[in-house]
Order: sequence, then C-alpha cells, then structure tokens
Amino acid sequence: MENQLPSQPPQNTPPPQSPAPPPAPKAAEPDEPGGINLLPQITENEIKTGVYKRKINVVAIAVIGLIGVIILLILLVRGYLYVQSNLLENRRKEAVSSIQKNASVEVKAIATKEKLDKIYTLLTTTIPSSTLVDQIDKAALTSPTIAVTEVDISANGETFVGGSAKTSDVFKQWVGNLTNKAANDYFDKVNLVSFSGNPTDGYKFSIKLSFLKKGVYQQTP
Amino acid sequence: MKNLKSYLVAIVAIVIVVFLVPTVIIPQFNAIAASYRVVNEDSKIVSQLESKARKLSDLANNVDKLDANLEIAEEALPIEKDVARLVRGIQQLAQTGGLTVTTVKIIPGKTATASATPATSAQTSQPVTSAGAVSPATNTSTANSPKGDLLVELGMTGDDNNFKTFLKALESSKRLLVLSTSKSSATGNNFTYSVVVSAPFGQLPTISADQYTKPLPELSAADKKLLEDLKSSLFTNVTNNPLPTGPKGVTDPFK
Repeated sequence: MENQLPSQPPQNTPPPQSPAPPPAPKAAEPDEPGGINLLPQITENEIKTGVYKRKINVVAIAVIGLIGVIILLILLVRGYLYVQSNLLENRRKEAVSSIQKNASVEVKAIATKEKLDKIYTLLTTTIPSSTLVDQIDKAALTSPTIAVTEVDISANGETFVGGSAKTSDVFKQWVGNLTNKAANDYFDKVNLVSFSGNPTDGYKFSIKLSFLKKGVYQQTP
Repeated sequence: MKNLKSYLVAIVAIVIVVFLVPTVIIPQFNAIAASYRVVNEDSKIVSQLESKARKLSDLANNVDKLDANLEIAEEALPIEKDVARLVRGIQQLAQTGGLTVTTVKIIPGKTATASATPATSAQTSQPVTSAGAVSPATNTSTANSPKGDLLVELGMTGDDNNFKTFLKALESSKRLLVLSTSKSSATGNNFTYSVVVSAPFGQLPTISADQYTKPLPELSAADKKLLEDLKSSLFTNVTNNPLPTGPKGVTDPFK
C-alpha cells in the first residue's frame, strides 16, 4: 500500500537524492562468465518435477505392493481351494466306499421301488372287467327281454356287446340304459355297429362302447 | 539416461501392470472362479453321496424289513417265470368261481434274449383233463403280448355270475394278473368264455455303472400303503398252492 501525504503545492526543487541502494544479488546467471554461483541452481520446474517423481514413485511402489498383495491372495485362495478339493476327494472316496459296501442293499431297494411302481401302474390302469360286466348286466336287467349273447372285452376297455331284443322298444330302452346320466360314469362312445331283424322275429344288434373306469385298486387314506 | 533411472520404479510398475495383470493375474482369477465352481459342485455331490451312504447304512441296519418288502413285491411281480404254479393258480381261480375250464393255452412270450426266436410257435395248448393237467398245444401269435408277459388263454364254460366271480378273483390276485381280452358267447344260460390272462413279470433292477452317483430310491407314502395292502386280505395269493407231486417209486412216472 502506498501512503500519500496531504496534497502540497508542487515545488520546483528537485527531489532529494536518496542514497543508492546496494546492488541486489543477482539471480543465478550461470552463463555469466567469470562468476561463482554458490546458490543451488534449482528452478521451480525442477522442484515440481522432483515432487512429481516422488509421487509417481510412491504410486508405483503402491501399485507393485498391491499387485504383490493380490498375488499373495491368489496363492492363499488357490491353496485353500486345493485343500478343500483334497478334503472333498477324501470324503467322496469314503462315501463311495460306504455305498459300494452296501451295494446289495441298494439293489434290493431299487428292485423293491421299481416293482412297486410297476405294480401300482398296473393296478391303477387295468380295466376293472368285473365292474364292466356288472354294468352291462345292470343295463340289460332293466330291459328284461334283452338277451346279451356276446361280450368281447379288450384290455383298453373297448367292448363289443352283441345280443337280441324282442322289440324295438326294448332295444330303445337298452340303448337308453347305456347312455343315460348314470351310465355316463361308466360308458362312453356308445356306437351301434349292426342292427337287423323284424318285428316278428325280434332284432339282433351289436354295440361298441368304451368303458371309462380304470384301475382295480384305489388307495384309501 | 538419468531420467530413465529416476523413473525406474514407475516403469517397473507399468510393466508389471501391463504384462502381469493380463497374463497372470486375470487368468488366475478365472482359474480361481472355475476351481471354486468345481469345489462347490463337488461339495454338493459329496453331500449327496454322504446322504446316500447314510441312508444305505440305515437300510442295511434294517435289511430284514427291506427283504420283507421285496418279498411282498416279488410275490406280486416275480422275476421268475414259475409257469406251472401260475397256470395252476389261474385254473384254480376259474374252478373256484364255478367255471369249468375246458382248454388252457400258454403263450410264453419272449423267453430268452432278443436274438432268440420269440416263442410264436412254441406255445402249448392242451385239453384239460379231469385232474387239471395241461397237454401240448397249438400256435397262437404273441404279437399282442406285452414284452415279457406270460399269456394264458383259458376256455371256460359256466354262467355269468361264475364269470364275474372269476374276474373279481383275478383283480384281487396278489400275483398280478391282468385280463387281456375276453370273449363270451351265450347259448341259453350257458356261456362259453375265451379269456386271455396276462401275467406280467418283473425285470431285473436297472443298475448302471455309475449307480453310486444316483440317488437312492425311497418308498413314498403311496408305496408303503400299497405294501400294506398287498400284505392284507385285499389281495389273495393264488399261486402258492403246492403242485401235485408225481407217483414215487415207480419205473415210469407217466403211467
């Protein structure tokens, strides 16, 4: 800050001569011929460069250290996994040995299970033929003058029923018995295959039907 | 050169990062991840094996129960084709129901390996004697026979009620017997029946070379109930009757 006195009239006298200041030491002038410079010749740039170098070296060492730590961790993890793998292999060998020791027991268990599965499948998919014959009889009994003379049953439940009816009304009732609501639980696809005859001699017929029920065994809780 | 020396550490770091990381460290991460997955999977497999080994040990300690269960299942679905006892049992079922057995044909199905000729011409069909014996036979195709099943064709006479009794007895037979086909024709109140009964047989258990890795089959609640029912009076054993023995101490046992 520059202090100024209150304004004074200008004077024509020359300003007093102040003694000349001593010459300031010159900054390093390396090219000056004949001079000896005892001060270190370090420029600001060089100082900054030195700081950067140090920082770079520190970072580089840190990076190398980090890589070293990572390699150490890798070795530790790999070692751990190797040990685990060995332990598992030992456990596996023990378990396999134990299983093989009881191989005959395993065969029996498999045989029992496979047999039971097959038995269950057979028991639950077989056509209950006694029920089928029973239902056909029931349908015929409600039409007393129907005579069922042939019943052919196949394993899948398809059945041909052949017989004779005295009158067409009896035949109608018989077909009604096979197709009514109660019979729908048992029979499906009731088709007339053949029908012949006359009112005097009666009628002969054959009917194809599918039996719906499956299984001769039901598990009760 | 001086500059190069002062940056030596940095250069080494860069070299390490540039070469070591992609060539050594990252592959190691991948290898570790792969190893970890393998160890994890192995761990699961070993746990399963140990669990199986424990269950097998428990079963081995109760092997009597296992044998009893197998015996029950074996009675229903035997491996052995005990044809004589089976045919006799089916005949007896018919006779007990009040039917008269007139003929018995045995269709043995495939009796040997696949290379062997199926027994299409080896069946026996025999008129039944009064003693219930069966004599040799005619040919019937086994084309409809399920693989491995023994088919027995019975010719019978009787009435409708007898036939229904026979069918019910077949359905409740402890040795599984399945009605394959049935043909009936009537003359007045007398019916003639031609019935093919299929007797399925159990196969040998499916054991593979790496069986020890497969889980041990366990009996479900339904399986246990089925075993109980097979033991109970719901099912009747029809094939355990003793076979009549031949005459002893004679020169010609067929006389």
